[in-house]
Amino acid sequence: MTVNHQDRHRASFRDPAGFVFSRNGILYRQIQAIGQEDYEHFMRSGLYARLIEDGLLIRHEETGEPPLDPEGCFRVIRPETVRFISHPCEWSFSQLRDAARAALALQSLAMNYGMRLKDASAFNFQLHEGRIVLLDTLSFEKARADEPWPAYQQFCRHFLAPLALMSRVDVSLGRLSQLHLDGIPLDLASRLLPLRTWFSFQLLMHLHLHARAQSSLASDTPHPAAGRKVHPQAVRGIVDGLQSAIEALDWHPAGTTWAEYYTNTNYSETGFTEKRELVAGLIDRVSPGTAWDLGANTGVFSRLASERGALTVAWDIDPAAVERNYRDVRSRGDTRLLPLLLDLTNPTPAFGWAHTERASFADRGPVDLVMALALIHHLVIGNNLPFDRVAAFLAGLGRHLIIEFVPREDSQVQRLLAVRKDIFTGYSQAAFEASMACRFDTLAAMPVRDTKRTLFLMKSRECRC
Amino acid sequence: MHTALSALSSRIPLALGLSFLIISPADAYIDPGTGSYIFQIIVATLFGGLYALKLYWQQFKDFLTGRKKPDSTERPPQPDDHPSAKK
Repeated sequence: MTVNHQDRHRASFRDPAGFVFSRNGILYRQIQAIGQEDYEHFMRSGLYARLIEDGLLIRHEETGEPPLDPEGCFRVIRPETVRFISHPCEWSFSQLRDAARAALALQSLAMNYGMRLKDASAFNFQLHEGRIVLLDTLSFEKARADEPWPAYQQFCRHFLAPLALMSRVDVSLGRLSQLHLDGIPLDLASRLLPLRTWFSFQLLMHLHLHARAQSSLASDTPHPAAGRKVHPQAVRGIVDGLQSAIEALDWHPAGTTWAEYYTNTNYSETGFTEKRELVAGLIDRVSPGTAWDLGANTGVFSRLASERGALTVAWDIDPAAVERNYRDVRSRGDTRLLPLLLDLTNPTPAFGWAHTERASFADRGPVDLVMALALIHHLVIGNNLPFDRVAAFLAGLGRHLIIEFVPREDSQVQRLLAVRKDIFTGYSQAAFEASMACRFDTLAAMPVRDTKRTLFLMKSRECRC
Repeated sequence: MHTALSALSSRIPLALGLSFLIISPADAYIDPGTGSYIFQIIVATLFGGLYALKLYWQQFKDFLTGRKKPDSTERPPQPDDHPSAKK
């Protein structure tokens, strides 16, 4: 007898037109009768085919799969599987801007087919096989004559506000998206943006004046303008204006400590080449289907895993490194490498309703292979983390681990110790190996030529300490 | 397009109603969606007019340079196609 494991997706509860559920590890979308008319128009009008052709929407097939809940069900569809779900607060500037471009392109195309995008949440977009795609097939509804675009405010909060803050104030403000699940409040964005942004027509209109209108125009009595008609051409004008606003925002990654890391490292050319060969050989031994590279920088070593077929996430704390990596991935059309932002000492928590709407960093694992190259000294010396805690956390993230031990004599460690009191007397390879042995079996240990560093391949298991 | 321009002229007084934009403190309990909805209605006329002018200007430039309109047989002909949607 087969046991059916099925569950409604934790983040799928807002739209009455349908919801996502999983059954035996496969995701399905149940469309309710209330969404039938819009869905049928979406499919028959040719809009679905056009969006698939343009690579803007996740492909799906209609199935005879029984619904999760038969009440009110119209149909069950099976979307193509997206193997890794990232959150907008983990995206670099260009990733968010590409998603914004996709949202506006979707609305423009939908209007050509008598439809409109009814919501513009950044969470509905994912990086899938090298492209930004919309996951929510039910985001389209038939356009109602003479109505404004219902997703306007959401677009401004989810895309325009964070992009403006990242571009005009500080790129790290993209992480505000983690605090504000429905996008950054426009009044907050308006207060944080510098005065010069008031002289940009599009930012003035869509952000600053929009923010003020939200409080000034909201009242108990209906505003005289509330019932006025909006010509479709005017909606196109607004979308066109938003496109101009997004294109005018830019950010150039340069000069951060990490983005320049490989030009400042103490590796000789031979040492660096050999390290690449050693890591490649260890990856071949694991032959992973999924990999996470922690502290990946611009993804030099992550590529060794993605080139071998593993869906690889290149996590890094530095927005400039992630941005460079993403631009490179995009220009090469790489479908297996996904660069994302992560502060490993304060990783993305579970957030949203009841702590379950958006999965934490660790909840999206475990993966086949975790890579932690030139990272241990930053965790232990840079962040006062004991070896055993590092071992325990890494063991939960993946089944195999490639980790590089960087000894005290290494110039990178000396650089860290130069600016802090040396309380790290226990920082040694012997102590590292002893702590790791509680959670891992060591399969290989290889010194890296021209350095005093050692590469380890380990396999995680139950704690023995 | 003509409709949008005529609508623009008839709604200029409304657009001037943007004087609401004197800064007032935001009340967190007010649903920002309501104000946003009305704001969009008010500024739509302005953006519709600007968009119409942009299209006219593009057509004028195309006329001067002798450029033809893109082939409209690629997909079903639409009444008011959007240039940014074309690839």
